Amino acid sequence: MFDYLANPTRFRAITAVIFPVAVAVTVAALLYGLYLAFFASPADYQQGETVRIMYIHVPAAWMALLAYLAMAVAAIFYLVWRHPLADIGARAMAVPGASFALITLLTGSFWGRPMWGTWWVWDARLTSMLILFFLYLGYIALADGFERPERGSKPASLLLVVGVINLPIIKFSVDWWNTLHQGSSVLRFGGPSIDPAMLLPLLVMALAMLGWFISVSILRMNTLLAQRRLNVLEIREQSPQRGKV
Amino acid sequence: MTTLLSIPMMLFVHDLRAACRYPGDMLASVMFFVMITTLVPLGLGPDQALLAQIAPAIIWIAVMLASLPQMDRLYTREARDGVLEQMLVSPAPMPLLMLAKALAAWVIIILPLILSAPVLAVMLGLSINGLLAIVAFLGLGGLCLVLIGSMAAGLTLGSRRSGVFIALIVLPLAMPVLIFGVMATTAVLTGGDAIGHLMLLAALTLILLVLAPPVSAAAIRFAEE
Repeated sequence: MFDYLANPTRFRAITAVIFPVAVAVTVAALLYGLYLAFFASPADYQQGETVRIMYIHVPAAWMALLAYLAMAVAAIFYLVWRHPLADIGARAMAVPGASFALITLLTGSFWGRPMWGTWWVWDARLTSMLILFFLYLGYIALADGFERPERGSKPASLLLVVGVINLPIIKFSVDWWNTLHQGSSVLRFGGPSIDPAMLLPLLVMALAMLGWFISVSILRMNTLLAQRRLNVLEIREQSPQRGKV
Repeated sequence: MTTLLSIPMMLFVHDLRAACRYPGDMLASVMFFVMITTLVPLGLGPDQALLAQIAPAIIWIAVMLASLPQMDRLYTREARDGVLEQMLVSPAPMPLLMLAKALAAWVIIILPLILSAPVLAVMLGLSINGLLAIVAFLGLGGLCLVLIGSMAAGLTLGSRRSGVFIALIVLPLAMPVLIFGVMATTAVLTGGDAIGHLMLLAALTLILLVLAPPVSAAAIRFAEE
């Protein structure tokens, strides 16, 4: 099946079908989700209207983690089967994933200002998200850090695998660090303990972000594919002239 | 069996001897370590109680930063003169060779820092207990740092950026080392129970001992392809 999907031409044909669907889902879910989040959902009895930040913050945090896991899966496919498309997939997902992590940090900060009284609290969850953001930056820097773009593919994929093994360790260490430093003063939303009136907009917004992530990743993959072809064509065009010199 | 262990041993000894030929490199990173530690009281003020409280954190962070420039150059010379290629075709397994190099790097990079740490610890007003704790825990944590550094050095081999670039890869992965190490040291200083933190640091070291050598071996294979 992967061989079947791995053909770039076939990939383009399949994504040509998926892309409009993903965009349509994104637009519909975003409009409906924002309506639910801003108008149709109740304000929290403790946090008031600021709870609406959650409808951006929490799905973005989910997506930041999901994108990193998806990149790691793509990296394993690339390292095992050596197909360039898996590498292009990981590269394409890196910037959207990093922006989800950044959105989580920014909205967390905006939420923290009215709730905790400061822009930033060294809370365990925010801190592990910050480290996840650093891991994204490390991957992006390594993948683009070589003279020939393709040369960065394997080291960067390997870094993703190392990163995904380290992610639970980092998460655990940060929890360990924080719980001993200070008591949990954070308002927590456990999944099941949340009110259905708030859960629905949360899930719809998560769907919107997933749709956005898929459409942007497909766009970026096609761009990267086109870029690679362009590079190949340029090299082919230049090589006879180089031979004369 | 003999080649399995003798070649890594030879590599280990060779690296140490090569490092002894340039003692200035070691001295430079020790000086860098001392400088970083000196900057903190200058920036913070000479409050002895406050300094003693944050001394473990200062020393751990200074070790992390001072070891970075050397990690960056872990394989560059070997890559230039073809040693890495020879290592790849050697009968000894590549991960074992990488482990030998990492252990040698521990002696070359981390050990001088650990040996100079007690002096700094005294300057920052740490007790004898804290001093011994810092030396012991830095030994273990330093092994983690070197193993992470060896992976990063392999992955960044041949990249057009270097220097600060390796920090982007090493530091996020090394954050758990800092957390467990500083907490264990602080626990000893405040009379708390350090065993829990120490066991976590040891567990992390074991994971890295298994994970890092094959990863750096694979990274070097990619670089030499």
